Amino acid sequence: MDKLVVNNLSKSFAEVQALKAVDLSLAEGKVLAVLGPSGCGKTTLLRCIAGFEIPESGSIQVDGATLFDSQRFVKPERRKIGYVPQHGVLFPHLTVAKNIGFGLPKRTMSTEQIRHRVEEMLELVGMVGLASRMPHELSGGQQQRIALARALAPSPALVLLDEPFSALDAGLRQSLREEVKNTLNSINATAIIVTHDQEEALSMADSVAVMREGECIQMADPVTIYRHPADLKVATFVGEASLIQGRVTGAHADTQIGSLPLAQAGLFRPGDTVTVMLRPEQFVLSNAAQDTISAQVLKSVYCGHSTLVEVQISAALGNEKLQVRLHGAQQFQPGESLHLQVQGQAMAYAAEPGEK
Amino acid sequence: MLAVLLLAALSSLPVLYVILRAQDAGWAYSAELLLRPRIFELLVNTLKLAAGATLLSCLIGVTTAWLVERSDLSYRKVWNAIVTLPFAVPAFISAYSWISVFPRLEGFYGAVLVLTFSNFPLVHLPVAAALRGMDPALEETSRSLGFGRIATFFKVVLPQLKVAILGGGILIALHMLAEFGALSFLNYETFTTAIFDQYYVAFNSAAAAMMTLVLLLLCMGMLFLEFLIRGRGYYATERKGSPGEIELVALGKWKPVALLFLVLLTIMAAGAPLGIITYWLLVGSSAALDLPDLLNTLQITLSFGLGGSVLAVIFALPLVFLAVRYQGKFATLADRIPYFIHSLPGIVVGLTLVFFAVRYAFVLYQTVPLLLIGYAMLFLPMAQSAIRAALVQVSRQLEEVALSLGKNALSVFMRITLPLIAPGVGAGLALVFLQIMKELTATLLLRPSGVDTLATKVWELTDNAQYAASAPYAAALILISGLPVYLLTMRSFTRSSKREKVFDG
Repeated sequence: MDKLVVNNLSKSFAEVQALKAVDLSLAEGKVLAVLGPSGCGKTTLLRCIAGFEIPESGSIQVDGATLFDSQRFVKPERRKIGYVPQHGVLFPHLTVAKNIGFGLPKRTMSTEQIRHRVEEMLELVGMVGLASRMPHELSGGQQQRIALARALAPSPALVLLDEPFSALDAGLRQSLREEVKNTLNSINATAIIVTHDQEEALSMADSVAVMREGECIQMADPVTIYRHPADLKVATFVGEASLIQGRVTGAHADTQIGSLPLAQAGLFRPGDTVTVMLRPEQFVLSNAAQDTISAQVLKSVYCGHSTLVEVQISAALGNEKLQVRLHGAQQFQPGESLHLQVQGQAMAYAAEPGEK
Repeated sequence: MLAVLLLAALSSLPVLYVILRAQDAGWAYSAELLLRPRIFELLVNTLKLAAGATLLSCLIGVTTAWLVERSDLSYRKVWNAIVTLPFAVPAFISAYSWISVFPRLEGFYGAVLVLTFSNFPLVHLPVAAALRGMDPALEETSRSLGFGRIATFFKVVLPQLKVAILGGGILIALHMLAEFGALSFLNYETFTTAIFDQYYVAFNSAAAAMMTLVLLLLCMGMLFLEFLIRGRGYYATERKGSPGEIELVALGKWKPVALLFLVLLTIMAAGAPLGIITYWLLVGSSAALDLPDLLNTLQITLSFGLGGSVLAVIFALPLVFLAVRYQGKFATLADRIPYFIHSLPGIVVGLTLVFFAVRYAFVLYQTVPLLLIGYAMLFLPMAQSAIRAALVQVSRQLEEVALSLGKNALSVFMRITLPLIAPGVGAGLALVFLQIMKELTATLLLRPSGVDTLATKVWELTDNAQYAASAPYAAALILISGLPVYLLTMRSFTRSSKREKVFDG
């Protein structure tokens, strides 16, 4: 059974509709990333699930129990949903230990049990020995870990993380992402992470929900989101993409760079005009002159593990620009000529009216 | 350094005064004076008043701050301004207005009520600011961990307000120790009024000095409390741009009760004093308004204010530089001593200066320069904190750049530093000026005989139950001192309070 089911949830503020009939479901022990640009409604969705905002319609269920529908609104303090706010936000007047122990029920747990649980949580987030520190004595990353420990301590049914790494610097963000993912996995926690960072979403989550203007556009596993985005906007939001015009012929699309096999067969009729999307990784260098695309380097961004190169294909093929990710330690100079081949299948989308 | 020594000397004067007086009267007699039941009685009275007014002020101030910042009351911005209106009416004028209509308000309860009404904004403003600045995520996290709104208020919100409440409370308690005019009208005896009587009516200087000793100890106790709170290494949270505005609590059926509370409070705290003074103004037009005298008094008051504030600022400048730019014992002293002086009641400063003038510099006794020194001493800390706030904003590097461009220290100060701290100096001048306008106790003791300020005029006329005659002076005082103080205070607390409504991060 699904841990969390969100049905047809809508919410608006003044004139802005922040959520438009959002549907979501999440299985036990899975991590869902809600991905979208700022203002897309993702934080509102999180706050509705936590109970900080009251939706206008729809329903929210956790473990089969209804937390919200047209008749019912369970207060946030009764939901047993953990919450890690942006920037962590520890209680500044309490020590680390008291922060973590804050949500543990004093009525049913002895002082010794609470102390033990706090110790356990400190171990879980790798912060043993910091129990008596005050929040202002911790670094940003440490605060974030304690905030996670505080949310997880009462064993919530679900834990919500609101842009948890946005305030940290790049290096720390990378390592903390991994740590948090391992922590969540190790206790089989069900979690939702709200983020605008596609790399964060793809690397941390079991499934990703892409939101735009209050709507959930696509929900799928990270690979599907990246390889088979639901539309062109999702495609360009979750990563770099090259878009080329083409015409459908059976299971292929004829384009200026050749006939490309399509990922979705039968969606288009032969003769349809489509926009074809290729990821930069789908291009590889080729030595052969036959069956390749000849192109000139426009600019190249060296990223260490790979190089992102923008190329312009030769005039004979129509001058299109392509984004290409090339592996290895090779450097490219503007003006240099390359031969490229396409690997894998391409995604095709109905050409939008107004485009050629 | 000279300035610090002077400051240290000034602040030790009251202690010296008590010691010398005790020596004059003989140690045994002084001890006897000190251990009288009378002193104990005054101690109980003073502490009762301080505790009562402070507690009541904290209760009212926290309630109004919460209503204004967290409830779904309409016109909350307007209420925020209305609630702080009592700042516009000096406490002794408020007391005079009440007593002129309800003479039965005398005594403990009257004193607690009237002084609470004029002092509770000192709790309201910092608490409202703290509530406004608190990160909503704190409360949300507490809710998500299973605590309801009420439990969250006591476990999470109240601890964050602690510093604001205690800070305001201690300030009010110090005011209670120093209050003279209002208590004299309300016929409630504390050390301050008793000291004044001993000195002014009974001419018993030794007894006055012994009471001053106890009063000094009380003030230092308060100061120590404040020091404890400040020194706790407490770090408040700031709003770090968390998403969403804080959820306003729907008052529901309590809304009429809350409104009634605010309306009554406003009527009692600001409406009544202002109304009564207006009433006396209208009635009193028959009692022949002495316009030339009013203008003359006004002119004297303004010139005292100007002289005192300029003196205070001249004195404050080197102290602030020392405290901000240099480290070491002297700098720390320059930083700390003002807090001590700030806690000294006007009566203590007044008596001390009278004592030393009479004994060592009789030419100064009852002269304007001595009065101005008294003002400068009383309000130096205000000038210091205003200038300090401006100076810490001026980067040392700016001065270093100017030096590196070949300017000498004096020209750097005149061309770089002074223009940059000008707003702070201006604010310091204004603050001290306004405080001097309504100063009563030290003025009564130090003024040249026959010279009246607006405040002393109100006091003298009211003391003789000439309510209508004193009304014009009271009104003038409110107009030139109360209203500007009110506006200044409101501005400093409501700036940067702009809140943007963002529904998504």
